Amino acid sequence: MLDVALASLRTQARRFIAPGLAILLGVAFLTTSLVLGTTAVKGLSDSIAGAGAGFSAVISPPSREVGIMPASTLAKVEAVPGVQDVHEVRFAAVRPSGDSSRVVILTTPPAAGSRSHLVAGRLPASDSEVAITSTTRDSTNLRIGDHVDYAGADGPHRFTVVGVIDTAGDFVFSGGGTYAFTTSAAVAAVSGEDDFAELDVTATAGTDPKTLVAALNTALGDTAMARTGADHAAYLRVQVTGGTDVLRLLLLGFAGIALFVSALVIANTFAILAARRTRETALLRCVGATRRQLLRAMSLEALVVGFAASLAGVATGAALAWAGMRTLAAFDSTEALAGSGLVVRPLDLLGPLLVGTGVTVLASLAPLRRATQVTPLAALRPDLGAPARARTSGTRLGIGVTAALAGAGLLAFGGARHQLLAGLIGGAVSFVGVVLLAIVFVPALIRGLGSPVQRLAGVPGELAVDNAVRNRSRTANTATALLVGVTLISTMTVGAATLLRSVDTLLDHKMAVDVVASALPDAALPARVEPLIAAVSGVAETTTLLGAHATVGSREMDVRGIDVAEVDVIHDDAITSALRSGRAFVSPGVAKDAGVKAGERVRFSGDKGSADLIVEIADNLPAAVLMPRSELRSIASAPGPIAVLARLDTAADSGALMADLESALATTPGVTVSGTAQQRQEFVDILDTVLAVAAALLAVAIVIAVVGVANTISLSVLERGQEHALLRALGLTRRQLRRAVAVEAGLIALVGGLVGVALGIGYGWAGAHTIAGEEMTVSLGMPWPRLVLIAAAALSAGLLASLLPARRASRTAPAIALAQE
Amino acid sequence: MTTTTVRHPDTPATTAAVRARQLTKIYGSGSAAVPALRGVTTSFARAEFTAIMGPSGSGKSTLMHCLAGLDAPTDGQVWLGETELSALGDDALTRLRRERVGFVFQAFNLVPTMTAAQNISLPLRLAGKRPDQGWLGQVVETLGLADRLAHRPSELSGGQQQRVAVARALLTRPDVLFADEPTGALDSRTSAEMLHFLRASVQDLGQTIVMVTHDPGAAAYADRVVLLADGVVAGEIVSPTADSVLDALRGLGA
Repeated sequence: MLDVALASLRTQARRFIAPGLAILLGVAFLTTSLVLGTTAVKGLSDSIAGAGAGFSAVISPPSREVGIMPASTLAKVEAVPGVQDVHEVRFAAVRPSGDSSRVVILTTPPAAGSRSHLVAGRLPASDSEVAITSTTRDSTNLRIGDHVDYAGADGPHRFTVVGVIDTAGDFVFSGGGTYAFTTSAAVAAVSGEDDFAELDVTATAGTDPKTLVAALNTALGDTAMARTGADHAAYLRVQVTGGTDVLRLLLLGFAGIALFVSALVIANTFAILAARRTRETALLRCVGATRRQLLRAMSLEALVVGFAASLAGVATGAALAWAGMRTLAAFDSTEALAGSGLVVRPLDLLGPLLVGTGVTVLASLAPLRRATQVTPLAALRPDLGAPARARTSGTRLGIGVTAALAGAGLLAFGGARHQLLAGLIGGAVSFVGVVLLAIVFVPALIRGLGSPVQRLAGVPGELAVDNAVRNRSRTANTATALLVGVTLISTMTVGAATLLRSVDTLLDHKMAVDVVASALPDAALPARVEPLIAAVSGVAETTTLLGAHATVGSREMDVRGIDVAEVDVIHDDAITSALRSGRAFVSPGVAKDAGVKAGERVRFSGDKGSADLIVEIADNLPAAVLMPRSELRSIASAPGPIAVLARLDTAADSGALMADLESALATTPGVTVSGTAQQRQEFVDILDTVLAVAAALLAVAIVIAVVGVANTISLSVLERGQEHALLRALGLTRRQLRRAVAVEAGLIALVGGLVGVALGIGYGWAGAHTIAGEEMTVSLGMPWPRLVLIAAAALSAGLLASLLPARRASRTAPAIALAQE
Repeated sequence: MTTTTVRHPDTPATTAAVRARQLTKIYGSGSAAVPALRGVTTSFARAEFTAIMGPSGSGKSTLMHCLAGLDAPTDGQVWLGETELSALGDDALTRLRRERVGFVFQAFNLVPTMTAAQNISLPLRLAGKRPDQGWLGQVVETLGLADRLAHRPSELSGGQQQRVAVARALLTRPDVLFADEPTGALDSRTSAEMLHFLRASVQDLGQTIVMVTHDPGAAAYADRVVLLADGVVAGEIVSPTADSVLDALRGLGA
């Protein structure tokens, strides 16, 4: 049987190009994910390697929430026997004087064992000396010997630059901030705070690190946590790669989806090919081959195809990973990946190879087994051309309906109770149900679309619809392959849109103003800011807030005054209706501090006078204390403009508008923009990025599905050679034949796309409910333009996939095909 | 070898339904070239039932394909009525086949996914026209298909399938109806019925039929037999009988 299998492989090699491509793409995706993941983890691990390794013990804050340790920790540590030397680590954020828009992080020089190293000059020795990074040296004109002032809490401190340190590849200084190094005491002096970020301990010779750490922890209690140098490095690695691990799991998940779609394409291919070879198979059975022998021979074909395609896939994946590394390194600000090359573990190559081959063989098993059921008599019976109507198995329908309903129920439950696990399982189970039922509803939907299609496309349309519903399982499988990817993308799109709408309501509860443009603390707002903002198209209303110091009850606070005539910039009617003379609004924090309750009369005193105002409390104010301008003017002598509030047109495109605002305010440095519009835009950006990445990852699965459509169509065209010749003989022109093939492909793809979008709406809405949690009210956001785009893309993909097969179909001369028996 | 009933035609008929001049068809090229037709000149008169016969490999099917516009000859010309086929492009030939040519093949005549009714009206629908209901009714009635119209080919017997094919071919009242071994897959009784009907359509309706066959019994129903051997016309028999055809074939070495 071996030679039978190999002979048929050789002659039919072309039939396996498309399914081979499907496997190749899935395997390549898997390989790339694995290789890139391993490389990234290794790169990040390497960049942390230096941290803490040289020290006997590293003392860090007890948790991420409490980020610092009090100054008293140092004395406690030094008091522990066995501690020879302590390297202090402090951080302070300061501004270089004269450039108030930048922030520099002042810190102690990196420890000797880390990846950073001195490239020029020397380390700072006194409290007025500083070393800069090589990045700073390259981007400014600071040189050794220059003076630089950093503005701290109590004014500017002058430093002399004495050295340059290169921090490339050091994880501690990755993240894009600008760093400068000085002594620990100087950092404390500039920041005005003496907390430590970390203490690195060198032990006296002969001290066991573990006992030292135990002693340190006893001495430190809850204020800090001591670890050995090695443990600290491991702890950091977990922190850093924790995120990467999640990423790798996600990538593997998407690769799994792609491979599932490949499996569908493979199963379909072998089913079709087996159908074509019924006669040959029957002949072999006539001549004496057992079912098992036949199955083994056909599975061998699948094995060879799967192995060859997987091999090509692994090679492609590795090449893509290498190319990806190059691109990533160009964009990598952390430079964590710069040092290491591509890390390729044998498992990362062998695994996908085995998985791809395995998937191919497994996917082909069911159709091939069915093929071997053919009786020997089929070789002698004339070919009728149309297969007998196979009745759908009742069990399949039963399981499908149960799964769909049960899954939907679980999904609804998960959405109502915000249970993520229930939602996920419910979604998966219901989708399995849908896939099982596809064999019923896909042909039904195509028939449903039949009459309009016939009206549009005439006889070719009629042919297309008839052909599409002719082999129900083949059509259903092809549509399902596309359904998977389309459903996932639609789900994410609808989910994101729904989340976005819900976030709007949430943001309004947090802060009731679209845009707040404020100056730096204690700086005056330039007068031209309000007209600049008002000039931006999409801005509906602006007003300037005046500010002054005042005493509220017994506390001194910043108080803001708003022009009552322009109070509509605030969204909240509860606030705008109550803001009038004699009243003021305070935030809940201020109310608690000052000990006031809503409705109480409170005295506000400024440098000019005082006013007794009735106080209302609101938690979404643009300022801690807000009162009408008239009142503010009565208590403060010279309130200055402090911020501009703006309300945006609801119809405005917030992305473009924020960009316009930024460029309008470019001429006024030092003005920062906040407000719900800004936050909303940040949220939109995050969602859009997530969506784009997800779409890119799903694109692989969708490309495989489209390859599947092309595959099904071209094999069907091959099957119907005689029929097409007959039609051509009867008067079907080449163009009409191409149209019939195209319409058939388009129908299958369109049904897959439409059902996918419909499912996506359901899943997306349920998913948003599940994730949203209790505090958000979820209102369904329907991004119609995007959904229509998705369905249209599915349709065009189907039409595109039919181009080559249609061309091949139309090229056969009617006579040649008819002459064949 | 008898000579009286065998005559070589050399005068072109002016009212020919379809005719060929120096028709040549070569498959393949170079050393693998197979000449199927080597300069065939013949014509078929209107309202005549003509059979084309010859041993296997004589080129009879190829001749029919070229006459019907299904295949392009390597050399020579074909006229369907006044239309010269070699001047037409593929689209024009295809459109011509819809209404001016009818086909019945030995097997695989019908589109499996369409009903008998849809199959019968297919060429007309391809032309974007609706069938003449009166004529359709008459054809269906005569062929005894009235109760079979809604069935698919898989639900019809071989004889019924062939009758549907004939109905389809006749519906457009084509210039010529080409039949390629139409009785090859039928039993003797159904064969006789089919041939009888074809004969009737020639005599009663004035239809021109050109039939390729290897069966002398079938050829006996024709008005004229054209003999083909080795890609050239080898003779002609007017008013054939099964015996005269058999004798002629034997002479050709069939």
